[in-house]
Amino acid sequence: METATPALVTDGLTRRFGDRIAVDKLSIQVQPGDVYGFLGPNGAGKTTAIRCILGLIRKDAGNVRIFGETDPVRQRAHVGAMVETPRFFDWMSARGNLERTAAFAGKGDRSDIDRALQLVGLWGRESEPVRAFSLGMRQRLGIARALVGRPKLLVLDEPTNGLDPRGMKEVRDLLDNLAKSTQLTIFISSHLLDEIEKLCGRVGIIEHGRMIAEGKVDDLVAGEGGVTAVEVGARDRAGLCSALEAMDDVKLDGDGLGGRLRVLLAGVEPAALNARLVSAGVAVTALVPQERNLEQLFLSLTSKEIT
Amino acid sequence: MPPHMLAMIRAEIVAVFGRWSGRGALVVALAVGLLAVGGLEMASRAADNINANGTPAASMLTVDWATCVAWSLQARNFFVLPLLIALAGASTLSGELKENTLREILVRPVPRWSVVFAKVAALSVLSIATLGVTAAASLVGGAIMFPMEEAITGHLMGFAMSWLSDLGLITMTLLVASFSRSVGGVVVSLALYLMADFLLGTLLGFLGQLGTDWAPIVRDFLPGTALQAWKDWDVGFEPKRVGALVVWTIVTWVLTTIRVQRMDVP
Repeated sequence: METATPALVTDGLTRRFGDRIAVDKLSIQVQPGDVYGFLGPNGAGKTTAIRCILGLIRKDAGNVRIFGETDPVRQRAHVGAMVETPRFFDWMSARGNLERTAAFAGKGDRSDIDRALQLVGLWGRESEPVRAFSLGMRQRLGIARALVGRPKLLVLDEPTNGLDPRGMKEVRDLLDNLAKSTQLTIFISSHLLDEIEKLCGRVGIIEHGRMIAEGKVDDLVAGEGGVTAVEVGARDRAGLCSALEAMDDVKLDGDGLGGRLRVLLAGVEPAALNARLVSAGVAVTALVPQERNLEQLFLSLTSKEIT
Repeated sequence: MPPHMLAMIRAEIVAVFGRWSGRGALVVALAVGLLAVGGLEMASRAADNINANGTPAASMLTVDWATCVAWSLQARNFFVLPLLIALAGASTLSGELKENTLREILVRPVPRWSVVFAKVAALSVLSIATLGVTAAASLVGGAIMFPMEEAITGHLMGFAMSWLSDLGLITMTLLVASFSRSVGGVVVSLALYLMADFLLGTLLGFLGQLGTDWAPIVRDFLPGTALQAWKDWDVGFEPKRVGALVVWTIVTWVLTTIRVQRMDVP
């Protein structure tokens, strides 16, 4: 059976800034139709990798192929991109900005621009100058711009950056709708693990420029070596905190429900934690295991304290 | 050459004329043309009332259509309009680097050299538009106000040559702009360079008068001197300066393209 040409392949992608390696032999494979989440802590090299993929910055080593193309200009014919906060000619109308993009894309007529504006919910506002747009509207316009020319691969770098919760939901719903209603392949980097978990079928997690985990979200979350989260309650909250802080393989993760503490466990069973706490003189009143999710996986893989 | 090069140039023209530097250049160009007509008219009236050593000043001042066009050409190329053209050039590269709008077009399927080409072409259109506006204002105003005695072919060639000077200025500006994100910094750097160039040219001219053979040759090939090639058209064609201007334009254009081709765009 013939396999489809991957939408995006990076092979040993490397970029250095002086002595610092920002992207280190990064290999990614994204299949057509995938919604791929690209995760990593701040400074992990996500944006640098995306800029290398888009040809905005030079790569020191490695290859990038987009739908089998190796020539950077031909590659970009398949790609629509939004890198960090989208920027526009503020004095120009939304339509004017998209027309400019269409001119440089070499494709995208009036109907194409209309479709992009409709998809992002800016139809009817297209004649207004961008300076009048809110951050959320600009973000949606950025996605509309990425859609001009009907690309096969959408690359979005932190598309919800700087948005309030309402704006984040708007963008998430928009991407969800795009993923379901079109055959687009979406490559999205974000800090919002909950959003990625809802949107993406596959994820790659990088740290210090290296891929440390990649696969289907469900497989990764269910896999071995992850983190279990529990909420722990005790009469002596201060004593509980002290006891937990003294343990190397657990991490306090904020407040849980009903005055309980949320705790991440790396390879520690909840029962074993209970035993340790009791032996430390803490009278445990509640120990509630939490469902595993992408956030816990991400923290277990990227948090030095508990790995 | 991308098949959609013309669309790219059109998009750049919209951007160049949409910025205040582009619109301002057009307004100033019109004002310069009209001021040349008005200034010459005022000068001729004042000259009627002035005697210099018994000779009427009016007899020493040529007041006709051709003089009006010559004045407008001199005024057009004096400082303000070239500065606005340089400002428009700096805005189109440094400004877009700073505002990150350049990034948005570089992720499109176009080679970077073609982006530079589109910008140079759009800025050239701005230059042609300003020259056309000044020339039209002085030609029409001069034809109405003054007698049409002398031929204006040399002055019109001066206007045409000014476009080549502007093209040289544009490519020099883009080269400097490719190293900076500060529009003001680019214009100031360029102005400082041209001042230094002028001082060096003056020094070389002085050395030439003292008998140093090579000094005038070197002076003619200084970029700042080459940009003044338009001045020679009413006194005769000077191939050395025009050649130097063409060389500097090509060199700075190629260097700008290489720089933009290699630069990391954040």
